[in-house]
Amino acid sequence: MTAHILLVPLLTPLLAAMACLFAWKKKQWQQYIYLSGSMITLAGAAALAWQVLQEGIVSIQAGGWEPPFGITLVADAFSVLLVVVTHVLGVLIYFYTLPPVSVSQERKSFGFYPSLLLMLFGITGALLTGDIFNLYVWFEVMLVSSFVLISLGNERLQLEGAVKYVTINFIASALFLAGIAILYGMAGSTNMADLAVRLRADGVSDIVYVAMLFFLVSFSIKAALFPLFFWLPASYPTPPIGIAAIIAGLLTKIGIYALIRTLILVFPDNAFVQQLLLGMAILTMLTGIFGAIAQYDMRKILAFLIVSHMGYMVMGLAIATPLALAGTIFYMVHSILVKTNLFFISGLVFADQQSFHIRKAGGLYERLPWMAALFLISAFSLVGIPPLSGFWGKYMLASTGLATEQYLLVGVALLTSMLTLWAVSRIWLPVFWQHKGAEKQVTLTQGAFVRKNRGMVVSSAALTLLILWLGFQADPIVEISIQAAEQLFDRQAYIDAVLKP
Amino acid sequence: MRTLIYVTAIRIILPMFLLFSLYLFFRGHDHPGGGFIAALVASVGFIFHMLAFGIETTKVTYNVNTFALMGSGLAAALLSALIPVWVGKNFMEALWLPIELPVIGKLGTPILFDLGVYLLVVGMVLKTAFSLFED
Repeated sequence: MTAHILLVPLLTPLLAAMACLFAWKKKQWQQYIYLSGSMITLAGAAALAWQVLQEGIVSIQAGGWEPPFGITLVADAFSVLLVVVTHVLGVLIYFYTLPPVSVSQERKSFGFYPSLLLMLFGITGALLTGDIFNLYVWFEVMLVSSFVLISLGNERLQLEGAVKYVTINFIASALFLAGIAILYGMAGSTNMADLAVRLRADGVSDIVYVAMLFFLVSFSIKAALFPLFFWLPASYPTPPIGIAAIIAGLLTKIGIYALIRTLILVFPDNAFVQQLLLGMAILTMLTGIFGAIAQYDMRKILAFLIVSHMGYMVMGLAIATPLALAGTIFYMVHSILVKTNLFFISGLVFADQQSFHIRKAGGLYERLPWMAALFLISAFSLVGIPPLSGFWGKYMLASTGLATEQYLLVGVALLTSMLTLWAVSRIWLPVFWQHKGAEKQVTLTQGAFVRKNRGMVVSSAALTLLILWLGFQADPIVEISIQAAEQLFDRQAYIDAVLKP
Repeated sequence: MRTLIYVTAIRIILPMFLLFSLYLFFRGHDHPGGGFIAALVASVGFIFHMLAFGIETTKVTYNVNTFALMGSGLAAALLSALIPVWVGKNFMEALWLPIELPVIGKLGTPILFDLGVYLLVVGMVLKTAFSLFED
């Protein structure tokens, strides 16, 4: 019965969203519900992670149906690591969205909290499901609630971004569904462990590769990989910064998660797809970073940086050795924290300067030096300067890349790191270092600014501490990443945990 | 739309819609039907009422809080999933009461789950219809 701990992080967000529906008109109550709900979820996620790391894969069969007939929920080290990181952000985003500058009061009384809870519910479900059709359903839960979040407030620009986001994601979902249909037609099953047994057997029909490409294209859209990333910089910068931060931090990584899960577990190895991933990794890194260098809006620069750094995660998947995959997993954790924090800080800049444009803001190093420090830590972490967190991820990826003689890939990865330094210094120089924003009438003193935006400052500082911890105390997370990667390659253990409980 | 025939007819038709929706709801376990489709039929009844009498009348007559409907729907579904866990069975496992009722048949957690779907869909469709009619 201890396996039921798995239900706590999964169902608590739904329970809290339900409570929010009863308190629709009472914003204050929704805030209490959100805060307590997200904290219980985080505690449940931590307890689940503890159990998985100590005792191995945890699985439960919904409805008590024998696998592979029922829907299985599975937690392994890879998924619980991401569940915990997701819900850490789930708690922090509460504090970040308290000041009205990050999410306005009207938006909060029109379903911000329940939508956010349902999005966290969808993400947790996608991470914990062991059934491929169920994964599709969780993606839809995530998509619909994030659509509400992106369009909340009905501003023209927001709706424009939301329409692009939804259209392309629905196409991705349709492709995903087509892939599932092919697999179901071939194997007569949607349980991932069962599919792994059937599809990795000898003499399986070549149609499986058609399904594989459907999955690849669909998840590449969701993860914003080259050449299917164009929707991301068009839609992520449009919603209020508090919403943009959590969506930007989390959703693309769930696409990568699904790609890793299906390609490593379910599908047979294929040299062509491996080459394709290699090319996509290289081009994603390069196009993303060039896009970032060409932009002037902080949020757009950050959106292109997200695209660029998705390339590193694909890099580990393309090399496909346990150590490379461990690098990818570590990089996902690092990337979720750092990208969210960079969005957090750009929101703080906006709170002070009323603009996201790098030419219209300036002199922050002089006025608010602590904010410059927060930015610098996250930015250097993203670039990968030792001993910050990005370095360890890149080190793991680059060393396995060299060991497997992928010199071009490693070269591009290192070049992208250098160009990332250029991209972040394009924010650093005008916004923090140079003094040209002085003609702006800035009335708030430092103390008044912090008091007014306390929640934003606190959550950004907390996230920075986490990033520093991830850099200086990388050992535990690196070990968990290696354990998770080895577990991913140990398919038989996963299959046994699901099919022979 | 508001002709005398329509307004008079809708008073008789609405209860029939609701009755038919209940019929669909209870036959759903083994035959076509179930919470979702039954809820759509019920909502159609209310939407016809809205077309006949106007949105304000419908809201006052039935006094529905759509968000509370959706919330109770979710609560019922969650309850049906968690009761089996409470008694030591698997998550979402079907539990049935030992007695069998005439007409309706056996009662158990699947019907509670379907009731949740029913309430959620009625709440959702009515909320959508109200918002569209108000514009």
